Amino acid sequence: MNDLVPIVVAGIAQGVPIFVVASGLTLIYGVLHVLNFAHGGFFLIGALIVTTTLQGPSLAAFGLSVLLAGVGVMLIGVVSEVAVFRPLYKAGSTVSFLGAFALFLALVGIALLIWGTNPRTVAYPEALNGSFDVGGARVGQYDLALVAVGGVIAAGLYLLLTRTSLGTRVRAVSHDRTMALALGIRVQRVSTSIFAIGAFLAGVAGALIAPVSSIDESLALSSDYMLPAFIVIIVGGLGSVPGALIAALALGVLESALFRVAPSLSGFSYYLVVALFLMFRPQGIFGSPSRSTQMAR
Amino acid sequence: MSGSERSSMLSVRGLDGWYGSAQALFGVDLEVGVGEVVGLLGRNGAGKSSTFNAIMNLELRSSGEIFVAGRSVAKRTADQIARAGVAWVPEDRRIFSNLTVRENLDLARFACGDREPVGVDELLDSLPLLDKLINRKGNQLSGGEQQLVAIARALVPRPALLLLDEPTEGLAPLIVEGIADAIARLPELFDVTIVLAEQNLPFVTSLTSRVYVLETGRVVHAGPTADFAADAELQDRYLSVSVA
Repeated sequence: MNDLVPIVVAGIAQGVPIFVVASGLTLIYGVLHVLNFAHGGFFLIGALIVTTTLQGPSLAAFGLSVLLAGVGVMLIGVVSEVAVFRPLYKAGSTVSFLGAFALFLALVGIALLIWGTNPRTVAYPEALNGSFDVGGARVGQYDLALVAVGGVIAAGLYLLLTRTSLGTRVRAVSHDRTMALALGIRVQRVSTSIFAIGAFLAGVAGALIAPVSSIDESLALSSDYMLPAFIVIIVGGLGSVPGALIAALALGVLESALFRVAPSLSGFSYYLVVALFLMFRPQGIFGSPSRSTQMAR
Repeated sequence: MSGSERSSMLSVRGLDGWYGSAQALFGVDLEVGVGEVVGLLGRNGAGKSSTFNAIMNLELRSSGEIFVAGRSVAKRTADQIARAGVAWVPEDRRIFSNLTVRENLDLARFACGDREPVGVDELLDSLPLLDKLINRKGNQLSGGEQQLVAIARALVPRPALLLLDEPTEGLAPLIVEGIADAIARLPELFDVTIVLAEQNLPFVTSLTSRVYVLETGRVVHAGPTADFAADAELQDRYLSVSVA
């Protein structure tokens, strides 16, 4: 029990930022059918914005910085969708993917120009710079805060997709874009809205990991966050937010357990699991063989 | 009364259409008057669905003139055409299987433009079979139920023009009768003009006053439905079926 609690909490805490990034990725894929490689750039810029905007060690200051990072990256996301992706939709997913890769390179380049190459760090908020005793084991306060934030974001996304007009339109567009158009839905606006939400989530995720990670351009394609996020949306089922949540948390706990039990295997769990899924269930947990987009299913 | 004697609801002139480089429509002309129910007959691949796709500006590239209630819609996007008062019920119904029937109906409100949407209660009065389906998900509906929901969804924004693409496709004869009864009441209940694409001649004969017959993307015959239904040679030539 003493070992299990910190393994689970650390695993979930590791999975939460990955879920937040992956949820944006999978939302965008579900609606636009674009694998947004530029998401790593959004994630990096979110983290870098915190290094610039954080004013003091208080929790309120950190919360404000996280929000600014989310909103800042959301604005970049909206401009990206309008300027880069919108002209490419009709050209097909391969061209859109290449556009996303070009945007990724541009975002990393812009980040280097603005913030330079030196790694940056951000201190934990003072109020969360400690640990709790949970079931006889020490669990970091920031880890628990991440779990709580992840829960709020997951609940918010669930409510957005299932209880709002935008959510219904998003699910309709993700299921059948042509019929949605024929029903008078302004699909372009839905696409831009969902891209904005996805970018916001990437910015927030970048901001949330700022205190626990060294921040430089390698973060944009880091093996700790971005690569697992791509794996999570495959394992969860492309386009499925619940799938991303389950996959991120399960893989986070698995990775955490491996780190304790067999440290030499740590880092391989994501790749092993995705390889197994690609072999035996390529549509992921919530995907179906015939239709890969299963928003809010 | 023919389409030319009524004020025009749909006027299509010289409509050409292409899927990629393959031409599917060749100079299609249609005239449909306000309040008419007009049939669009033809074999599989004759161009019925392509004509509707071209009118909705969906899935194929087209040129030509398309007027709805006297206003050109040829350069508009599909969502704008829907908001201009054109509703489309596709051959495969395209119910959102991940949404409930109620959510499917709610979505159609976005096509209202400045019109007041038809409320669920009004729809249930007109199509009472919907009542037991309202909270089911799209993937829990039979083919006939999907067709009913697709028609109801199309009616929500009070369209002026309803394009119905093969509503009897794959349905049992008893269900077809029910669908025919429902369609027959629509013009009066919802003040809607209907263009009905079908291969089922008895079904078209029971509902329409005039027909256009398409073959390989061209209009090859236009006239009263009764005349076409009485002409076995024309039916053999263009439909390869005869009236039972």
